[in-house]
Amino acid sequence: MNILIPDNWLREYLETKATPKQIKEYLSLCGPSVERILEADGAPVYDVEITTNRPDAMSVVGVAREAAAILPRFGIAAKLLQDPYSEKGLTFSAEKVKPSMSKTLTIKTDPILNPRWTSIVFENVTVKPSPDWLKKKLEATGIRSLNNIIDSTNFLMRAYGQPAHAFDFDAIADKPNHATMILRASKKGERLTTLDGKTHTLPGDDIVIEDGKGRLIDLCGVMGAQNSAIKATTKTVILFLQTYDPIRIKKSMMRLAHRTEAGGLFEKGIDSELVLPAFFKGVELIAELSGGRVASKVYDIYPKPYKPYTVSVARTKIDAYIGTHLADKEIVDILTTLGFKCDIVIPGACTERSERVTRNPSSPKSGSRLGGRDDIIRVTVPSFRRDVTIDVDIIEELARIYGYHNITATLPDTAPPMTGRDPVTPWEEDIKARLRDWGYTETYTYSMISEELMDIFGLDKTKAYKIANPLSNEWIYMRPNLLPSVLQAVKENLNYRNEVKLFELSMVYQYRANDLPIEQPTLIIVMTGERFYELKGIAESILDLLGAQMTGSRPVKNINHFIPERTFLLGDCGVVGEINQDLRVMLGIKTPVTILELDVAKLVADAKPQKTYIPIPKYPSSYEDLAFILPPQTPVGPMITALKSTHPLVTDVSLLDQYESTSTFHITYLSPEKNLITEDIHPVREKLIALAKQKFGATLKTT
Amino acid sequence: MTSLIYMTDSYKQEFTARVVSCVKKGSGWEIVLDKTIFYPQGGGQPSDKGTIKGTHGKATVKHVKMQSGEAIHECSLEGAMGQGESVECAIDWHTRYHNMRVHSAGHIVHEAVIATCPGLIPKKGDHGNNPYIEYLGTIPLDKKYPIETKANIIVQSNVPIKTEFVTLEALKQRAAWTPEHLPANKPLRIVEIQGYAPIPDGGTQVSRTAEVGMITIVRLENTEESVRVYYALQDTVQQEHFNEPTITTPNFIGLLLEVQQDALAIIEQGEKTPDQLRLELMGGKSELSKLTRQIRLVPVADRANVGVVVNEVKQSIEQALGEKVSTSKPGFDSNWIDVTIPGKRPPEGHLHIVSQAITEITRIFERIGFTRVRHPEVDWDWYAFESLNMPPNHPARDEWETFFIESPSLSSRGAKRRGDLSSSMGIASPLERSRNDKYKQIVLTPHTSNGQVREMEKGKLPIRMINIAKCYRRQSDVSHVPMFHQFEGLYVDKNVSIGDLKGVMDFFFKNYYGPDRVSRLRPFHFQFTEPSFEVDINCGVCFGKGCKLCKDGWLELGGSGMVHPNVLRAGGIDPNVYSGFAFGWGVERTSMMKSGTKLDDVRLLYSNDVRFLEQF
Repeated sequence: MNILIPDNWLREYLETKATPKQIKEYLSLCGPSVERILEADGAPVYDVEITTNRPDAMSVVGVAREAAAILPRFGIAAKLLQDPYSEKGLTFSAEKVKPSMSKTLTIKTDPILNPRWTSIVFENVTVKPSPDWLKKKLEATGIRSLNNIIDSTNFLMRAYGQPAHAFDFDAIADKPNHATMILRASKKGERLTTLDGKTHTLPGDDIVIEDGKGRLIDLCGVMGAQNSAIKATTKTVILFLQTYDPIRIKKSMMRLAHRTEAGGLFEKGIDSELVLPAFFKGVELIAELSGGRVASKVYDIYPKPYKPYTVSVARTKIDAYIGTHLADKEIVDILTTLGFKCDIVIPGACTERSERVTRNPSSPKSGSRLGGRDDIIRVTVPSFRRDVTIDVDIIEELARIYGYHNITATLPDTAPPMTGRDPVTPWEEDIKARLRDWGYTETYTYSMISEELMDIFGLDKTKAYKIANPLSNEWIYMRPNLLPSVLQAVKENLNYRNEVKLFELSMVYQYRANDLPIEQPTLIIVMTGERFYELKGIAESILDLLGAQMTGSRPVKNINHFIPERTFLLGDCGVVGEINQDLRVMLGIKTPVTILELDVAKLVADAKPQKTYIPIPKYPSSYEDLAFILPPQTPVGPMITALKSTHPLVTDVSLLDQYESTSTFHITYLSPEKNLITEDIHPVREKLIALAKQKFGATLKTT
Repeated sequence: MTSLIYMTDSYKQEFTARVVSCVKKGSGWEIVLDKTIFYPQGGGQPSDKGTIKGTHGKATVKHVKMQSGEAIHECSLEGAMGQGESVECAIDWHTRYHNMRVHSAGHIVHEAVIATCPGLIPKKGDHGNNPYIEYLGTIPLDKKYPIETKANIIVQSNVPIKTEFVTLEALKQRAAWTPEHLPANKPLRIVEIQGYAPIPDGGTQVSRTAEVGMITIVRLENTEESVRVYYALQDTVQQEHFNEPTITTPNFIGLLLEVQQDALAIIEQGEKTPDQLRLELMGGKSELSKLTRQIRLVPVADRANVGVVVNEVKQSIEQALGEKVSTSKPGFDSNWIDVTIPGKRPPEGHLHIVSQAITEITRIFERIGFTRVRHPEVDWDWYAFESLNMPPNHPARDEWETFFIESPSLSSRGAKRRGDLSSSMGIASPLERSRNDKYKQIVLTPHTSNGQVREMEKGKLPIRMINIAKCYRRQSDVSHVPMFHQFEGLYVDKNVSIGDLKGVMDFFFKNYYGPDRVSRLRPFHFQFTEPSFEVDINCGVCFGKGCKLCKDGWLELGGSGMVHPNVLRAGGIDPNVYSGFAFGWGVERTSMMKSGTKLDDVRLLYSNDVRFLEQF
């Protein structure tokens, strides 16, 4: 969360000679990030990002406290002024507010919903514009000035980080000089109109206040109700400061889609100990600005006051985290300026658990001591730092104020890590690099596809992962198949290219009932045109690369979206084929498209990447080309396989050429034992010809 | 019967004759003389022209024809001409002599043809304006040049051409060939070029071959059964064959072959380098190019065939040039090639910029012992949030715009959530939660941090992993896409320090961004690390001076921190013994922060537009 802190307001709580630029730089390094310095009315204003765990710093005082701890680390003196937690903060001057006791409040509240309640009534109030100093302060920090009462409450919120609210006493009074306020959880369907004129129907379990007659007068922590708002004519005012259950505030804002700055503070948890100091400051301010007179006692309902707790951290752990040894005094100084109290416990001096000896770290006797190995730092956590609960929280405070920039960068120096590598990713890299070198371009399509695409591709929507809160209709289902999105990409590219050659290697998400999907790394290559042989060739090369065996076959039954005659199954590793006309028409793709899809994980599982040495032949190979006339539609693949295994001297057979019914095979003969002569080859050739005739009805073409 | 003086004396230009008859025919007159030197149309030779002058009139002979043994002179007549009148005749010698030369040239060409292509049977000849000889059979087009050469050899040898009268019988003995239907009952005239077989002929001939002058074979025109050899006297060759609106196919091919012949001869001479020759013979201004451009004048049906010949011609010239290169003389640099021509490239594909970044990131971390692992992209809420110290309803969850997966068990889960509401915000004991409790809600991982507890659960320490995977968030604008990639580093061991985290960061930045970029850690807050840091890198555009791209010179890269004890506990690791650090950054963002990519909209990465993809 970002807040605006005017430099001159900050300096009311911070005595320092640091320049705004120094404040910006050093705070960013060790505390809240000052993202930039703006300007209002010619004066610097800091735009500060405060992390959600630090509501205590979301105020001028909060930032001042950080600055007072940080700036001295950079050699710039700094001191926190007007600390609300100091003894002086916990009272107000009766002289200034001239209390009478003419008004009474009947209050019912709930310590879980509302850990602390404070309120007081003013009479003889004049509602009017605020003085200039207040207007300027608020406007520099981004808050619009309204009138002296509202501005006072906003002043408290920005100065201390404690939101405040003011009611018109007369608007809620149930009898003269008396009003009833009942704080409770809302019932579902109750209605309330907030200050901004919006009427809300409450979802229930919101924190609200009613006036004893069922009328809601406040949507607590978020915004007051219109019916009890301060008006120009208001004479009697209730000033009201509390803390609430953060989770309920957060939920109310979420469900009502109504966020306010006050709510943003309450949902993070506000220090109940801060309520009273802020309240007293508010009492003085309203009395001063409105001429009002305190007309009731101070109502402070706080059944479970904060009990300070301690967090202990081992010296050795601090040293290990920071990588250096901090002196005791440095530790104590850092923690003290941040509001912590700490003791250094020397275990060796313990006789009994209950009688631990603690040492005053600032005494000269121990100040020079470096700190023992087994020392424990015992830290008492102030009420406003309840985010600190465990030892590493203390270490964070020490490390950041010490300065991350002062910590020496090292590389871990330890035993060999045991992390086992993912077997698939190195292959993915290799395959992708080769495809790039073979002239293909990689793309990444979104993993989510539309319902329409699921339907076009006939994918089972009940067996797919559906996004419950989609961002767009295009992104509804986690794709069980890469084909839809990749074909979509092809179609778009065909608008400006005649030819498209794309590939993607991404997960597909295979459905498992009541379980996570199987995430299957899948390669898809898509080419426009009738490119069956090219893509089959790519498949063969990739399989070779992995040392996987190709056990391909024609599909027994049709594979959706492929032309059956032009489709080839690569075992259970994938498929290569041409997309059928129907699908192309549905997608609006006019040119033929050929696809290769490979299950990379499966391929890797079957891979035998270890190469085996085969002795280099001592004798040269002989080659000859045999042309056969084949009956129509004779598959040549099995014929090559059969010819290859005809005789040990035949070491390779490849298809050289095909023309009409003639297929020419390139035969390699090789003997490991001798130079082959015509007489050696002749009987083998006869065998090849006989086999071709017998098994495939092929006749040798004589020229 | 007219006595035909020209048969025996073809050089006689004037003579005196007697008028046999003079009759009006149409608009003109037909005159028959007792004897004549006028050659009547026939045997392929045009008729002579000239004048016949009588006492009372003058006739201009326009054409002469033979009819029943009479030479009929077709004339226009001024004055009168009577039967028996004696008249003075004169032929237009210029035309006649030309016709004679053309006719004799035909015989010379014939001998050249027969010498070059024996066995052809002469069919007919035309020795007029567009002279040719026609044969039954075909002549290969490349013979044109040899025929011409041969014919001119005959011309230059200047041998006599003689005519005489023989009987048919004698003719058949002496001649190489005799036409059919020759009259057997009268003497036949033959012509004989010395050294060649006589041929029956009735035309006028020059007396020696040199009188003909150099002959050009204009073209060979093969038709279905026969071939015509067109020829011309070189002094009368028309220069503008190409001005004709069309060129016959054989003619065109003949010209091509001529070009080829010339080119080969020039190459043979060998005075120029092969490259000079290539330019001269095959370049845009070469004869071959000029001719090739005329291909449109060839009948459409034949163009493909002509094209084949063009290629053959080019190949033969190329081949000759190639041979020339290999045998070229010293002095010419045979190694010279034009090194300025753009090279021949291998096919060019492209890896996606994200893949490139992932590989580069992986390599860098591998060098300091981090191993790439892979964890789910669609995972249980427990791994994505709960085990990371973010119980249900924790406000920190709002920082991620998470996609949830619809599941039938959602409704029962909703009830459970409400029950959780009032419970404390810390994780009470995540390890005690039953499997059923843990594994209910499925989310699209909004970060790769789900890999932290998953890696810890493997139970092997120390851990140094880098988990790179897709992540998903409900957002889409110039700097956000609903699907992106993160890399998550996790290091768990004893005595891990913030200094180690800094060292690993620095190592990565110096290697990835270069030595002139510096980084800084800023305090931050994440639920699953303590302490937590935001990591900044100085801007690669302004190097820290401040510009519109960065926040006063710094760019936020992402989060990191020391692993929170609750996360270690969730992964079954004792935080009192072990500690660690983790970081998780967007691959796209990290990559885009490199100086010079100039990518201003992350959505481009997922546009699938090849015009974009091919740039990387």
